[in-house]
Amino acid sequence: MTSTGPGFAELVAAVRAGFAGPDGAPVPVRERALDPALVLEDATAGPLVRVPGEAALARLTGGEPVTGAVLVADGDHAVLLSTVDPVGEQHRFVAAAVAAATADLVEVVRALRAEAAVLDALHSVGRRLTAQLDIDVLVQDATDAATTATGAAFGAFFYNLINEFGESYTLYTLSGVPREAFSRFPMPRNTQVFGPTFDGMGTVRSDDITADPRFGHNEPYRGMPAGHLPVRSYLAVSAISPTTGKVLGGFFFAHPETGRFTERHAYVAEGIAGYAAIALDNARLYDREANLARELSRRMLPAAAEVPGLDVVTRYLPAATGDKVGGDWFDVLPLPSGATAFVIGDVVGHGVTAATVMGQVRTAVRSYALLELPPAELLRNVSQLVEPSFITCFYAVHDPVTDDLVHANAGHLPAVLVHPDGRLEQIGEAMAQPLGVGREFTARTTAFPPGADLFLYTDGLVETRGSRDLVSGMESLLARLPGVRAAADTAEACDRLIADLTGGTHDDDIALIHVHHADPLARLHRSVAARAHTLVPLRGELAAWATERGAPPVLTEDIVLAGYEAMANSVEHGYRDTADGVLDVLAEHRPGRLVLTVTDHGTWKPPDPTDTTRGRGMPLISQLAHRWVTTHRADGTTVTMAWDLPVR
Amino acid sequence: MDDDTGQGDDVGKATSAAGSVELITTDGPTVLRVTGALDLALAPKLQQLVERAVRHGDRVLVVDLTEVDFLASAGMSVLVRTHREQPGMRVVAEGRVVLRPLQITRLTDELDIYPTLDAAVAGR
Repeated sequence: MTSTGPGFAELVAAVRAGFAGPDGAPVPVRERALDPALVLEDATAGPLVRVPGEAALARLTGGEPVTGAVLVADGDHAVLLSTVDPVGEQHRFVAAAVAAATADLVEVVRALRAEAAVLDALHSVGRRLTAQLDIDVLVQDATDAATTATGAAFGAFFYNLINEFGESYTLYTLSGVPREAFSRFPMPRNTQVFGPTFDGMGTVRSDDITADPRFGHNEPYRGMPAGHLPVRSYLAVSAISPTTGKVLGGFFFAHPETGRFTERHAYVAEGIAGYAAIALDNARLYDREANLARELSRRMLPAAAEVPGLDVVTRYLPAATGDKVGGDWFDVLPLPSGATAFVIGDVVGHGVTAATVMGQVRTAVRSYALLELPPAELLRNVSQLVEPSFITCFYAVHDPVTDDLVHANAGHLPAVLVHPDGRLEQIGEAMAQPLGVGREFTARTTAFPPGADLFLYTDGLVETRGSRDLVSGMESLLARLPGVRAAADTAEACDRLIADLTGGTHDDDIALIHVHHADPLARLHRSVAARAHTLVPLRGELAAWATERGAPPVLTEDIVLAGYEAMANSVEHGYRDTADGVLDVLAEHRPGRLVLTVTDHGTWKPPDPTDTTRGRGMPLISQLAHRWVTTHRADGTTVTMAWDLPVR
Repeated sequence: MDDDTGQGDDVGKATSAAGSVELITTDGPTVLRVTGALDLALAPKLQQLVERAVRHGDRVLVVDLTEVDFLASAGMSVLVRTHREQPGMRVVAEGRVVLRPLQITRLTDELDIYPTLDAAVAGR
């Protein structure tokens, strides 16, 4: 502050010249440099010229007696001028004159320093607010900062948000008073007092709002509702979006005494409101992007379909941090043939773009799946369809009749198959390149019998940024899957698995499908000689069993006839050359359906196609069974037929 | 296939484990009355009796399935074969158990089917 007045050295010289004896002659003056911090009790004060009091003088001189002393200091320097000779009053007059001459200056400097402090505070509030993306934290911080800076008894910020349905709603934060103080009152309305603020018509500042001509005109309260904290001084500023010019909300400050808010307070409040508006805009844009991606993903991932006989648990957890949401998906699709398709995939990239691509790929996969394209062909078609991108996808189809799982994998992580005996097997490892890159895909077939589990997942589960790498992540997964299988509640076990593997935080999407192939509810197994007459009692047994398992009479008739035709085929064709063949008949009641399997161990000779009087067995089966398949093996033939049981 | 149930058959009647066929000669058409299951076991018996009737020179055959409670494709094959050789063959079929397999295999279009024996004998 030395630049605002005479130089410090000049000031010291002038004061020094003031020391004179009673006779008016100059006396020797000693000059001691002091630490200005020890002298200036107010760091913001300007230059100081003062005759110190006795106590202060003793402290500054270390007890050494002096006859006269003057303290000269500014923010950077401080000296004590003193003499031990007899002195007159002149140095006191000089000190008083200088103090009087610089009094205004001190006031100006004090004000400027106060101004600088306010600007500093405003700037730091602004920096803090605009770096904040959490709207709740942001509005509270702004309200607190503005309430403090205006010296208000309490402050509030009312702001509008738009929810996912596009509806606007008003929230508020308070500072200086507990929330209960206002919870009984309705939101401020567009009254004459509040209106200008919500309309963005400029700051309203009143030394006594109760005396304001705009006050007290609106029903029902005509002023403040009973129980409202007393308000005399009133200050309200709008928070206006810098991008849209719309009013985002209003800050309101109050004090029970009159005349508390100055123009300066209004200025500070406007500054904070301006920063709050920028920050709110940012936070809303950010929220919109994150919500859009999350919403897109969520909408595109409805609950998995119910599949009889398969206990399916699916999970989709959007990335905990908003900007990474959007690339993963899964599907569980009951196909027209009665088979079930399982899809899991990951679009590389995040946010709305990834979510949109995911939606397209998912739809393509669904469409081809419903056309029952074989897995390899399906992936090839989807790969040709998608724009150049990098999408991994594991596609598997479970045939409930053969209990086969046919799968193909476009660059996705391998699935885990838990065999009925508990053995773990990773399937579909390194089979092909991702969609959008790969051209050729191959399919493999593996058994997926009752008692087996299938686990499909995305990399977010095993590849968390931080401590774990992919390999150890997968090891952890494999180590935990038996526990999931053993759990009484698979859904809960899956949640726990996710929590265990990610440590509760995940910075990438996680999708998973856990399928448990339920054990049959009941089973009927007969091994009989493949002779016409042995089939007769079997027919009766099968009819009784189907009825007992809930098949209505008409369905039982179909089951028995179709089953009989399959057995008769084995007798006629499978064992036409041998007299002592054995026929295995296995009937299983699985959730929602009955599955009948007829297996022979002979060599089928196809019936003479020119003999049109015969060969009605298979057409009958194909019409009678809801789903069926014949598998010819080197060592025999299996006909598997399935019927859906009516829902009771 | 060897014969499982040869015992007890006489000239006009044959039985299997779950069914039987009886050849009834009337003033009009010759009637083959099938009872029980017309399955893999009974089909050859029906075939034999059909052939016997044809050898007798019976021009109009009626296969009465009214009492049949199970009709397998083996039995249907006999019906088709007979119909192709003896286009005048009439079939009496009533009830879901018999009609459904015939409908599924579209034999209801090919065979001459009547709801009752009287209708079949009368030919209308």
